[in-house]
Amino acid sequence: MAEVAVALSDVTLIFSDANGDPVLAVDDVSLEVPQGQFLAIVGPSGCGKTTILNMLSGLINSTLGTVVKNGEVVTGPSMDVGYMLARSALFPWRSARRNVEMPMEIRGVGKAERRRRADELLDMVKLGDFKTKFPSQLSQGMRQRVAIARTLAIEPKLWLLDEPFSALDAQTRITVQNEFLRLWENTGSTVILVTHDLSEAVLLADRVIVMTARPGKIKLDQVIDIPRPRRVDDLLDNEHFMQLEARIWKELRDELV
Amino acid sequence: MNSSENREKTPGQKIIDDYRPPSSRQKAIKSLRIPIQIGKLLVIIFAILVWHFIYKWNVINKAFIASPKQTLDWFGSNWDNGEVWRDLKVTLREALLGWIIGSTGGLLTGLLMARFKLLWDVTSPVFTFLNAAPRTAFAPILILIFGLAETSKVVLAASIVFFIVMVPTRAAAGMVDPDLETVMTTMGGRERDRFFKVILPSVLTSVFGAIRLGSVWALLGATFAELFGAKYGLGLRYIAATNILNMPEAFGVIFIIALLAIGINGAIGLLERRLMRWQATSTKGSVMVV
Repeated sequence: MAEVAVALSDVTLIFSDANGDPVLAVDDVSLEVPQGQFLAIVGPSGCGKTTILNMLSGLINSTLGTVVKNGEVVTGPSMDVGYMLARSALFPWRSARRNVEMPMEIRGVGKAERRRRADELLDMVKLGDFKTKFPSQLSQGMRQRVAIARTLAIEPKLWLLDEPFSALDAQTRITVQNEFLRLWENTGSTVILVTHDLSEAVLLADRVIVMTARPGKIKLDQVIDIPRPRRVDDLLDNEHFMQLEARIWKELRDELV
Repeated sequence: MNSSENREKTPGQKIIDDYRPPSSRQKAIKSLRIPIQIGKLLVIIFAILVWHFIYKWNVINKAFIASPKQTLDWFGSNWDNGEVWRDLKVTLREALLGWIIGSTGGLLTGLLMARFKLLWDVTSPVFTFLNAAPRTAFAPILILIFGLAETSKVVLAASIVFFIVMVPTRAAAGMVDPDLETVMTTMGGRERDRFFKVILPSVLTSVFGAIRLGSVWALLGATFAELFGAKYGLGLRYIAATNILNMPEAFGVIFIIALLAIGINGAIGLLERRLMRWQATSTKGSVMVV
């Protein structure tokens, strides 16, 4: 058994809504993710998926319970976490290269080294010819690949993905998902993906957790035993994939009212 | 953006394929460039002709205006006039100083007010009043306080520019893309990184137009204050010329001021284009704001 990368113990989160009334967003969730696992969390809108990511990233603190990452209680943001959002969130005034350099800049990596590494990473996401382009000059798929390169520059032990493929059109999504798998599969890092796209969860993850509608609780914890390396487009008509998806869908359906 | 997505074919092809060449609209605009230049020239010639005939046919009393020819002659006989150059230098110095002080102050105050909401809540009535007050009308008072020399003009120019920059800065600082802040925070960025790498660039982008507008207003403010009394300056030269109905000189000075404004605006426009290269819709050929 690999060591535990992330552990939530009896985590509850209550926040105040716009009227100041308390809202129970996450209700007593316990969860352990071994190092190197790709975990997907699916559930209806407002089930607290993103809230869990935000607690793991240290953006917010749990009301009750503890969030432990690499053996330490999370109290604030740390530099070994790569966080990706639905929108690429690139800095529009920076070229692709300078965007990828950003996390290294924050850590004080020297200019030459930063640049060398950024170029290497952009080559890895097949954007070698677009290093000096600005985000406005790139397509959405390319922008999300720059965001992947930027996250790789963090060399994260833990990837927190908040629907990073959801804003892409169907074909670009497959390309970028494959790109991500290819780059991630040999890093040994842990991934927690939040999505409302069940197929995506089953295609990419080693394990899928279904959450209930608010307040969010874990409803189903399913291992996805599709072997790696995977290619998303090869799996779409795979029978085992379809069975798993159908089984989880039954559980999820009850939550979508 | 949408068209590029539609063009994407198989995943493999996409990488080369989704680079977007200039749109056909951009090309069409490019091919129009020369006819547009000719059109511009024709409109200028037409405007000068209108001016010429207004003078010639006595549409306006000849005592109160100068003809294009007289204005040109004034330039011809004064281009090496040291006193005109000195006045120009004085006004330009007042305007630039007022612009720099006003925009820096406006930028810093705007950022401060956005950062400390409570401070803004408390001070906003005063700022709202000062912004609403006709600041050009303070010119005579400022001259009484700061004297006839350049300081009073700098103060008026700066006070106008201050609000032109402060108001949008405060607004822009509150509208920084929250995704960028999230990414910066999760990357482990400190407060300093957040300010210099996210907030300041975002705000500068939004308020560059206001800073540019401020430059022209600084020139107007400085000139306007000079009308009420100055030691030197284009405004003083202008009011002195109109007082003795020396209309060629009055018109000449107006032209100098206008050309200065265009020059300053153009120079900042070039800088802006250079710095804002990354924007999809560049500010090329943006509106001349006076």
